Amino acid sequence: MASKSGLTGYRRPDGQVGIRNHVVILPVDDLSNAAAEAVAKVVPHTLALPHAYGRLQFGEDLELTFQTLIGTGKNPNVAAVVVIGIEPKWTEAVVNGIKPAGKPVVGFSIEGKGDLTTIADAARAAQELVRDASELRCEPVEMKDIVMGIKCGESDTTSGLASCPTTSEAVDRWVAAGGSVFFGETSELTGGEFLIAQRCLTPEVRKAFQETYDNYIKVIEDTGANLLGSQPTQGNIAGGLTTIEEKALGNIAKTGTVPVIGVLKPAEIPDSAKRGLYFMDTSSAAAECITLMAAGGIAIHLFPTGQGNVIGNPIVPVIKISANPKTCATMSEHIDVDVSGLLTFDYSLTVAGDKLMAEIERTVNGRLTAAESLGHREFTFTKLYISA
Amino acid sequence: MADKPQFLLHADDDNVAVAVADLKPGKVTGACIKSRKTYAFDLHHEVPLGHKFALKDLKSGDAVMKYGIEVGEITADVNAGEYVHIHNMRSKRWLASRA
Repeated sequence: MASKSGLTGYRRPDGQVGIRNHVVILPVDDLSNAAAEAVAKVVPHTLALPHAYGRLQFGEDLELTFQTLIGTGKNPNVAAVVVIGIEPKWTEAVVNGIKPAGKPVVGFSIEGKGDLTTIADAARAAQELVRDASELRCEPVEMKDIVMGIKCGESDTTSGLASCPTTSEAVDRWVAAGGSVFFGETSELTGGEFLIAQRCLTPEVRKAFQETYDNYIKVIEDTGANLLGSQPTQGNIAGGLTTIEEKALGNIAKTGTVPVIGVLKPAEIPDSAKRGLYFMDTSSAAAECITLMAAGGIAIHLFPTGQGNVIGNPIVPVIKISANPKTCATMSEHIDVDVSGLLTFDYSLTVAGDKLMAEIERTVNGRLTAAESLGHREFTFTKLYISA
Repeated sequence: MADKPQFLLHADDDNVAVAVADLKPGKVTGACIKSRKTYAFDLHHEVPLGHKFALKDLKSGDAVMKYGIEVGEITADVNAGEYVHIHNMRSKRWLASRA
């Protein structure tokens, strides 16, 4: 049954609303990827999330890895979680971190048993969780129940002209309906960071934003490196973007016109009672950024692209929007919403916004995105420094 | 202006415009995406879709304006109608970042 908004979703025990119903097999560390992937092979309809880290990390870097793992488990698109780690203590730490979400979560560790016994035990648990999750039903939900992420990639000048302004329409409508939206890409605000600072709701938020931005840029500038080809990327340059400032203004064009109500640390889950536009401190690399936002609780993601970034996420549907007519023609299997008509004045920004909102509604209600249908499951951790 | 814009400006006070089709040298017509005011220029270079050209003569050190905001500086003199990219423009923020 659809609500007045036409949207349906899974209401989780903690009140968060998801639009997918994944049973996740979550490795705590790289060593446990093989067992996690084996469980997902034995038990259909589960989703293993292999990744590269989780060993000998320490301090803030370890905390971010834990927060990313725990937040991924707590994400409302996840119905239940099987955690597998090499050692029992860190496995338990991740399980205990996910527990407050109220969803089923069980942990298994490999030491003293080996992969095969662990796989058998975890598979039995996963089978039960999948059968239980299959009984969960979607119910009517509202926009305000669904947390959205935005991030653009392989941008070109058409992004700032059209696909980002279209995304901006959706952001303003989402927040006006009482919803939350996350944007990030800290380095990619350079040249337009004052525009974000001006939009911060309070002096406290502005101070937190400025400090977060300054700290990130200091790390980059202290290297003394030439970033041309990295930020902007070679794809950005091929698409006509020349400087970080030019890229940043296109990026910022997708953030709507609403105030910034808070600054989130990477992977931080905000207070669900305080809804609006949040800035999350993230890398501008697509997979890292969306992985962090997913751990922060987004259920859907909007992704404007110019030259054709193919990014997806294992648990969050990523909707691609492009206004580059060449990309829409040559990479059509990756593009969910073509707004190239904005460049030729074929329709207004409001009409493009309507088109995107219609695609969002279909995606919320279960239609697979281009990235989901192509199997894009980029799950990439942000590492803050070397491991011990 | 021809039926469809061949280039777009973000703001009327910008000094560069973005080609929204692959453009050949010659007379080109376009508009500001916000105000919809129309413009015509003589283009001196080929400019591919998504790339920029100067709307006025710019000297080395001049600010490049797009979105009505400074987005970098000119590093080699450019005449109106000429191609602008990493060969004659750079960031003013990340000074180590240059072609």
